[in-house]
Amino acid sequence: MFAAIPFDQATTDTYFVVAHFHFIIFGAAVFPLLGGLYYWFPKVTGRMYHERWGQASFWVTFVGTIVTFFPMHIVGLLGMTRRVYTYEPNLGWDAYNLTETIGAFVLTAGLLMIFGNLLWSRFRGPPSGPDPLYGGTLEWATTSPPPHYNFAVIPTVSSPYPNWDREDRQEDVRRFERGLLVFETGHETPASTVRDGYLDEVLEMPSESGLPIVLAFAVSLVFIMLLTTHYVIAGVFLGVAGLVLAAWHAREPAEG
Amino acid sequence: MSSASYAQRVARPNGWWGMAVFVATEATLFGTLIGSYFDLRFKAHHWPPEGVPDPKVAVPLILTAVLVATSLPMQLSVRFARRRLAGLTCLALLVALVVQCGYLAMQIHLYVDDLHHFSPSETAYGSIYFTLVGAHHAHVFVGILLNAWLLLRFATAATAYRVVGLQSTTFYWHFVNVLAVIVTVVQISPSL
Repeated sequence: MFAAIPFDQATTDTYFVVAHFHFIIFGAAVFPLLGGLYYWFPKVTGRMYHERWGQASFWVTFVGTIVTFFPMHIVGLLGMTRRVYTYEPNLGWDAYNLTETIGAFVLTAGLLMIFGNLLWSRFRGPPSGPDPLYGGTLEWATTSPPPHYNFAVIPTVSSPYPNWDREDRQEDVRRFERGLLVFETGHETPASTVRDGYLDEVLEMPSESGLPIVLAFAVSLVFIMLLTTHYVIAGVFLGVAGLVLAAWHAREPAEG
Repeated sequence: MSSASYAQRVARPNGWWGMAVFVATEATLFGTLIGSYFDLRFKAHHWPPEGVPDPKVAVPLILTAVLVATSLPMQLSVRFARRRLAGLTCLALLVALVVQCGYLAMQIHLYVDDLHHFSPSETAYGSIYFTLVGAHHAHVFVGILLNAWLLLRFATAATAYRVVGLQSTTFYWHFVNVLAVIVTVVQISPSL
């Protein structure tokens, strides 16, 4: 819209652009975010949200968004500039701005309904089970909430909707019973071939350690001290960094 | 991971990948330094500027050849370490370390000598010369610290973890040695 120069010149710094930003942000970012919040809530918490209340909260939020932001377009085209907090009466903007204020309250109510629903469901919602929404993707194949290791065996994935591939899921169970492809030593993750996604190799991931963050702080302090020309203190922290580095590498993983 | 059903090909270790990324960033650093060198050079009427002596040719070339030769004992140490021959690994590492220390000592001597003849803060030539050459010496110094650490570790035993460290460090040294050739050629280029 604003890429058309004549239009851009006419609306720059009017309330129209404020309307445009917020309308777009709500449609493209906030609503998907809220949708994702509902969609994965059962997976994250293991409990179902209240369906009817959720639908009601959607409509309240949706109406609130339109009532808040749509009149801003009109009032911008009527000549109201952005970044004003007050103006002379009888410029023809009063009714629009009043509508927006009412809309803002409706929108807030809708958002409170959403978070109220999720908060209530977190503690009182019925157990959701692993797959309450009949999802096709892999996260619905494990328990809700998932265990820290996500899957006990590497899942077989042969389509975009692995949770609907019953054969593959049964194969996972059989593998688990036979103890095949079970991650049991240290931090490991599978790597697959680039083109076909077949299981290719096992990557060993780093073990847990608090030392890297200590090292990061020590190195940061070295450079802060160098920038503030405290060279001796910088040298001290360089020594600390060296010691931390040595301590980090002195503890070796067990020979596999 | 337990598996009887498929051939397990373990990926290159994380340490190797970490070093690969590090080498890539350091290569970028030297790319910008050498780029700056030639940018300044092609804008200058006299390079080096008047009052600054032409860079020496013979000694830096010989020193570089000596440093590049240490790629051989480094690679040998990896071979020994893979067979868990801790003693021979240490010996190869020690040979490399002694030569590298000698190299660095000579280079620092030349560096200080250059500082007596021209300043890094008076001409663009001096500025980029000392920055480029000094950056390379700093990389040699880091490599020496890595080798000293590995020598201490392999003095007790050769473990899989330490072998990865040695492989990565050898990778680093090959990079530093290639860099030595490039930096030296740039350094002596006004006298060629």
